[in-house]
Amino acid sequence: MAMIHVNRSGTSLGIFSEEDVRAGLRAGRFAATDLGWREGMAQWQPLSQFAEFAADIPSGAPPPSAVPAGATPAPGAVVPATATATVPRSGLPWDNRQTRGFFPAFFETLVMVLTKPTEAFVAMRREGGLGSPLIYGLIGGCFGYIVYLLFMLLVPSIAVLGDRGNPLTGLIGAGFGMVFAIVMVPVFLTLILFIGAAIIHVCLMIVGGANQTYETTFRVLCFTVGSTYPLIIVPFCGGLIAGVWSLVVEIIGLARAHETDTGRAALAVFLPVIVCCGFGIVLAIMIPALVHNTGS
Amino acid sequence: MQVFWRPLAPRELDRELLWLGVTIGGLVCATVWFALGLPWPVCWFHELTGHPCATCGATRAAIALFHGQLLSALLWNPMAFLIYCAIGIFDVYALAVLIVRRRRLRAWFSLSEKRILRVSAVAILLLNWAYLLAHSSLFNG
Repeated sequence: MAMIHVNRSGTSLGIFSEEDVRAGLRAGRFAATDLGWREGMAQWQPLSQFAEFAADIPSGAPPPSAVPAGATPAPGAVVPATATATVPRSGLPWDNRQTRGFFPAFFETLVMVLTKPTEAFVAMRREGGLGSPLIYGLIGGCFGYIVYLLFMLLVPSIAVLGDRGNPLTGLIGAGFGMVFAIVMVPVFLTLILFIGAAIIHVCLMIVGGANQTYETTFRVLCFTVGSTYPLIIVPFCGGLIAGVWSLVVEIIGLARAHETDTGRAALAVFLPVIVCCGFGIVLAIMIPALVHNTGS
Repeated sequence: MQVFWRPLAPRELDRELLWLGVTIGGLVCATVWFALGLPWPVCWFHELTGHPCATCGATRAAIALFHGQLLSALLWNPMAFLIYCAIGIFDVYALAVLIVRRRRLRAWFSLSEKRILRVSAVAILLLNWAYLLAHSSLFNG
């Protein structure tokens, strides 16, 4: 029997037998608007267009996961594709921290963004203010950085870019400079979040992927930073893991929140790097030439 | 485990494009980093203990690989060498499907298969570390 792949809002729900899909439609686990594909089909189609399921789709009934008017969807729940146009996004657990509790909401959001970024950013609200996501980004980001800096304070000579001959490293490792650095982390991180979001939003506009406002980009960046920067404290290669995963989560987040394609989101994220690298390459070529000419 | 080729669903994340972008971006950044003569990453585990960590030699393996020294890359860090090869194969596949707009290769694992994969990954990591510890002298030169 041919297996049917089911997809909702760009997220795969799995592979099911015809019987499973039929039962799912009857039970309300699948919506008529969920997309299905099986071997032999050229493209995905809504389950409602599968002839064999016509009898299993309740006519005129609302989508099974749609939220009744006036009700708030469960935080973290993925709203089906048809519902996104009329029903507000359910929001991340962090948005509902008053009822869930501060720390449970933080950890649930962190785990969701790290392990299920697609679902997380489909659920993330695109509006609702800058303060709440900023607090999340600062908590996660500062935690990662400060633990890392404290480690450097304890063992000043073994920074990731450790160079015992570098006076700056020595100064930072001296203690006073480190305390200053720790105090300044939230300030710098706030600046990074606002300026970084602005740069990425401009890049999104350049590549034609900015379908939402700056606020949406800012929220994506805050939830990305707040969730991935704590990975810096992972022994051995935490910085590398955090760096790579933050890129991945950011691209997924921008694609989902701005409802643009992955290519544009990736291009927007890499555009500053491409520009900086291009500048760096020019410098790398020019500086030795200048030094050579000055010397001769 | 089920492996199949299927079209990308509307609004589905284009994983091929995403990871191709990340690997190429990482490669460009690393190239510029070393071209500018910026300092090499230092392993604090090695600095503290004098023994290599599970990922020591990965940078040198990458450099050896880019110089076409396959054996040298393998000896520096076998796991990193295999990962780089897998990334290379994936990038070629991703580029090909993106250019010709073909169906995408996807795999579906059951829960027990996922568990086996996790255990295998940890076992490979530990074996690789055992190899590096047995060849500590490579990193103390």
